[in-house]
Amino acid sequence: MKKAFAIVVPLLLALLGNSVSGQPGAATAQQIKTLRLGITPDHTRVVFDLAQPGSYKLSTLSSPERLVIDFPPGTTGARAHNAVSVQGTPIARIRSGVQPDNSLRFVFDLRSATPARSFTLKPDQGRGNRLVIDLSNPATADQPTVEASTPTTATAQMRRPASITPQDATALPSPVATASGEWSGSLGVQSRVFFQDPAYRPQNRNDISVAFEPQYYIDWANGRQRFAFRPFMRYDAVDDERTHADIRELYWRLESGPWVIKAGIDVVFWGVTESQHLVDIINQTDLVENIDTEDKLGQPMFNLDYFSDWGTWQLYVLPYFRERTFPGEDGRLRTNPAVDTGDPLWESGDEQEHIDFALRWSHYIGDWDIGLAHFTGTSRAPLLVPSYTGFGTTLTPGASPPSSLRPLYQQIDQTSLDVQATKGAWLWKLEAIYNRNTLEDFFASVGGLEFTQYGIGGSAADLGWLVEYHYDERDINLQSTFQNDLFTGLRLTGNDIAGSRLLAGVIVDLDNGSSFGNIEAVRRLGEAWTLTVEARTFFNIDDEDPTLFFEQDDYIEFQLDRFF
Amino acid sequence: MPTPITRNCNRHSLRGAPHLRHGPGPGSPAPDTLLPLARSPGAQTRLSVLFGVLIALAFALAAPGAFAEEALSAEQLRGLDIAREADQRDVGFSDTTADLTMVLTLSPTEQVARSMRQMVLEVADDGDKSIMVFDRPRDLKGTAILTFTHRVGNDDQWLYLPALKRVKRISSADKSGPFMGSEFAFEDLASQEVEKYRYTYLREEECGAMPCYVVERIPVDPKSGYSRQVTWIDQQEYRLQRVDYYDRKGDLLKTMTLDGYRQYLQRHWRADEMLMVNHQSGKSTLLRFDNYQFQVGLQDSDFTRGALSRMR
Repeated sequence: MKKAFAIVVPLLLALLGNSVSGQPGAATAQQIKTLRLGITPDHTRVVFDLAQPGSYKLSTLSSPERLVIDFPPGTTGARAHNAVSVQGTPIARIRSGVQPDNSLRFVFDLRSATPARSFTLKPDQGRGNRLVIDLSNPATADQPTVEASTPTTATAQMRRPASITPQDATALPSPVATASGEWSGSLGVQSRVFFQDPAYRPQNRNDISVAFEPQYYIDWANGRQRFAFRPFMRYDAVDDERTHADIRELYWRLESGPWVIKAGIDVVFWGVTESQHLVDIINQTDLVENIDTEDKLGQPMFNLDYFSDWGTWQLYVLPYFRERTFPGEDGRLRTNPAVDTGDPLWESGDEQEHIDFALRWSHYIGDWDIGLAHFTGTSRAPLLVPSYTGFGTTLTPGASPPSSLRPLYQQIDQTSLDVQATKGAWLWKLEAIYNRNTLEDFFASVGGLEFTQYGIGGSAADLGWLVEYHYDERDINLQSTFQNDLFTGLRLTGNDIAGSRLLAGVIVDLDNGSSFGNIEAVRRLGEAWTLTVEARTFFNIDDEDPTLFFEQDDYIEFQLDRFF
Repeated sequence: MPTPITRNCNRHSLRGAPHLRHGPGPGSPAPDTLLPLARSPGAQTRLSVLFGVLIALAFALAAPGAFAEEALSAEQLRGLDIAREADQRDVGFSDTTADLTMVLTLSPTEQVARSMRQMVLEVADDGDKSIMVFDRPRDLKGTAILTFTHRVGNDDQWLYLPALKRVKRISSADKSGPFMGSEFAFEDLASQEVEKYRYTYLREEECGAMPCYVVERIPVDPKSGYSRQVTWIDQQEYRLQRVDYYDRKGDLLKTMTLDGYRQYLQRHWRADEMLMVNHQSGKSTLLRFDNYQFQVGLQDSDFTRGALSRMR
């Protein structure tokens, strides 16, 4: 009965340019309600759900292979194919457009010449009028036959509908989440040129390195689940410690209503200020990458987020600790002696297996963004303890300079607050922590403002002014250099096609005058390349200041990245 | 920072959530009322209506230009009516998604393309919420912007930087700067509520093959880069067909034309293409919208800082 109404169109293989019309002559405006794809072992079925019976025209084009379906003038529903996944089908892409005569055309770009047949179906079993096109799958012989039953209706074989139907709103995805996996990433070359001779042997004058950071994401279950993988690797021609690899991301994530669950490795950022990231604690700093501490090692975690009208709650269970990276003997920007990362000290007997916990609540109220968090576990920032090998014991400090510094990872309880008020062109920022540990509890904070002038001098560029003040209760040492320091800087944003931007600033120790100058500039070159230049200088360094180690390490860095 | 386009232009405004379009919906004023807080009386107690009247009165006294229509001339009233009618005709779209391609023509031989995706949620009693995600250029891939549009005052805006995994609250105070180096300014693409302009009806005129209303609108915001705009709105469907932008000195700066209107859900019109031509620089930008989809079931929870950080 159903088939009696179906207009079966002959196979179109090799009939290049041929076209077939269904119900010729009836050219009333149509409405396409949805477009669905179903995949069976041997063919891909395309179904247009139509508001009424009507005509269509199917034609094929070659070089490249295309399948074209035209609907009568005035037909609506051109976007029915949005969010339809074509993964695993002979279809490379689906396009649509209104033709000059106001007819609506769908074009299916095919990966290769594919036999197709089409027919229409009348309303049946709760389904409306349909136009069905069957495409043969490539290499069907290799695929197991899961289902052998003969279809009784046009949709019976659709085991895996990848469609998005407005009637099925509850099952809908974030629209930006497609069901197909995707590789992207970057490859970069970096060169550092130091202005002065090295202070310590066997450091080098210059450095060159290559970094590769691919990433893969795949979403499924209508975007509610994701798998992510983002490895990172750098080869450094000079510093063995800087030649390293890491997994920045490797996780599975599930969203369900207000809940988000994540298991695996990821990077999490907390905080609001620019010159120091005080409250950011989940991930370990990949210090060999950059002394700005913005590069992070992937952190193994189990993470549960809950979203509500009164804020977002985030719980982290962190089952494995990542040790901080430090430059090796050959590297610049290091202490003397260098940090021996192979021989860390632990407060907890669990060492790296200590399970850390963190809980964060964040919310926004009008112009205010607020975050409150607590962390309990292994401190990400180690103390650096001198080690006096060569004399057999550590009992005679001063007799000889230490042969190395050993990282000591304490157990801490840290409570943090971060606040930003966004008042027009003015941003007011504050981060504060209170850290409890077995040696010395302390309070530290950083706060300031950023004011932006838009369209300076009648140009398209924006100029931002930044001031941030740093406070730390601890005595000055390698772990805390920001006792009483002031950061002033400016940010230039070109708003141009190259996306040019520049951040320049100076941090001055208000107690002893030691200063650190920093310039970062980025611009795009063409479509897929960026050039980044960073220049850093340590000047007016006090003899008692820990940054004395880096006094001879002023440098300029050029980095060329290719994105794919 | 870039401001997302939350909506294609099918009305008097380029996008955004002119608040009066929510008229028939819950908690929204009737389209022609002077009293923004006086809801449909049938569903309200007398007390709350009275309360609404009082508050509206306070608003009217505080901001005479905004609500005191008595002071408007016949041309201004007619201009406002056209803007409101255009606005009304898009109420109830609920949510949309679309793919955007921006082609920047820098010179006759040089073009640059950008691509983005957007999702928009209609909010019953305030401006829309939107997320825009960048796909191209590739170094910006995954960068996303969340915007809560407000009828009055600055929008709330957050930027997601995938390289740092950082969600950053940003200022939405910038109005006249270029979006992604294009000929579209942030304010061309940003939310434009009905009362963000003062309107004056100018004339009727053919635009293309259609009879259009020509309405002048003057930005209320002193930070706007424009002294005035002249808009062409077709009389049949109240769709924006063209806008002439005049710079602060009063010279013609840019013209935007809209093309390829399609109607979705038998109600909502969206243009497929918006072409912005800068008369002073000779550059132009074409903004194309693909894969428009309506009522895909987006919710408030899809427009949070957390959801922003999960974009890619």
